[in-house]
Amino acid sequence: MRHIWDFSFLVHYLVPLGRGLMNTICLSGMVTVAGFTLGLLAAIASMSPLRTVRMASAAYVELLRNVPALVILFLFFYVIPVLTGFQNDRFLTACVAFSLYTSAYFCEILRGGFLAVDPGQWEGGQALGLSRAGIFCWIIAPQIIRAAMPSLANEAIEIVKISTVASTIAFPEFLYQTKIVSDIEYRPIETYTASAVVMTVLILALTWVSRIAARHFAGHRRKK
Amino acid sequence: MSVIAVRNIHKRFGNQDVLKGIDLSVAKGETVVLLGSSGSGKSTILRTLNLLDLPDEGDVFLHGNKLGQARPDGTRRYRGGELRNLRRRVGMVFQHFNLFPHLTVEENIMIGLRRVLNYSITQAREKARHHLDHVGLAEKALAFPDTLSGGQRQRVAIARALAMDPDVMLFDEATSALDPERVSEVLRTMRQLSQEGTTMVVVTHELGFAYNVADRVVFLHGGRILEQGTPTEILLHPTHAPTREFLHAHTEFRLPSA
Repeated sequence: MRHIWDFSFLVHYLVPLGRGLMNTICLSGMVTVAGFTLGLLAAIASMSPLRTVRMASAAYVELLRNVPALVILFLFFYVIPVLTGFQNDRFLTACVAFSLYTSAYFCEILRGGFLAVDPGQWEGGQALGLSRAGIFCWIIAPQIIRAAMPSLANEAIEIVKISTVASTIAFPEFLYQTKIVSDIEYRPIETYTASAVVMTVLILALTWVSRIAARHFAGHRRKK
Repeated sequence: MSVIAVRNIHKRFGNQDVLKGIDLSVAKGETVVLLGSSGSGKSTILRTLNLLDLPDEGDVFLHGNKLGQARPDGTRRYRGGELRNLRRRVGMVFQHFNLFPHLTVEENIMIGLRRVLNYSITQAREKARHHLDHVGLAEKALAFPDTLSGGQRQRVAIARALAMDPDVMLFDEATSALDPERVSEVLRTMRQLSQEGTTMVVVTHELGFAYNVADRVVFLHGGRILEQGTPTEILLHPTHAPTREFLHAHTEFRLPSA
């Protein structure tokens, strides 16, 4: 059987597909920011002098990292409303679930970046009379970001892909809209091919932005 | 009056006594060299002088003022502000330089001026350039540390400490991590500082530097000061067996002098 390729029908769905793309971008953006923030807090907790705080951080990371994103999403969408009688909209539910999920990864990335910084950097700052907060802001944090930038960018890309899981709770992100178009037109090959191309372009754009950011944080990287 | 002094300092790491009652006082303009085999506690003394390591017992004095507040159990408590104030008056040069790799050479020097002494960017840059010139690295102002040789990095670290106008400079094995042919450029810079009247406490294995530059040599053994005196007294006429053994080990493979 020969398939005759025809993408022309897609022009009728530019508006819903465009809306789906915007939803994907919004969801990914929110999750990246919230996940990074939660991950940062967990990473700071993992460095605490208090054993209990360190253990709480480790438990948080292990719990969220070892449960599939889909399970966490269903937990927030189906289980928690039943238990609490409180139902959020789909966007917020997906935001919360994926932020928690990715925060575990952000935590590990930031912790790794922190451990990569030579402890002598703290002493170098202390010997100048800088405060601990000052040393962290001006000396340690820039080096963590520099060391962790490729992994952070990778995680942001991962988030865009994870966000498609929100289609399972009928949040109208890009993949969900694609599925609807495909079902209406009975043309899954063209629809999913086109959506794959769009997602690839989106992620390539993200990669490009993250490269610029990495170069910026590397402090005008020079030739040896 | 002494610029900086310690009295009856004790320091333990775990169950190991590293310092067992050290008294040391450094006068203005004096260059004191601390010698001793590894584990004798010489680096720990240096790190106690700017309280990077807090002593378990004993007192630290800056310009005759005892630092910290007494606690009921007899030990002393040091507040963050007091520690920062001490450290900005005491410059330290580390074995591994501890330059900030994400900042240029001049930014490495400017950061303390900007964030601790509240200089404007222009003032800080001007001062950084002046001190880089002083250590002969004016042309490296915009380079990053990882493009410099070990000796150049250490001179940047010296300039960074000097730019804070410290009352005393501490050198913790400043040449131990350098290639042999880079050692002398750093030692020359240190000798120049000593001749200009900088108050210095130097931990080193360079006996030639101690002999030619030090005003006083202090020999440590097992966490105590075994003997101290002029370079001639300690390096040429030591009175204790451990000092003689140390000097012998350090000069065993020396070339005959012409």
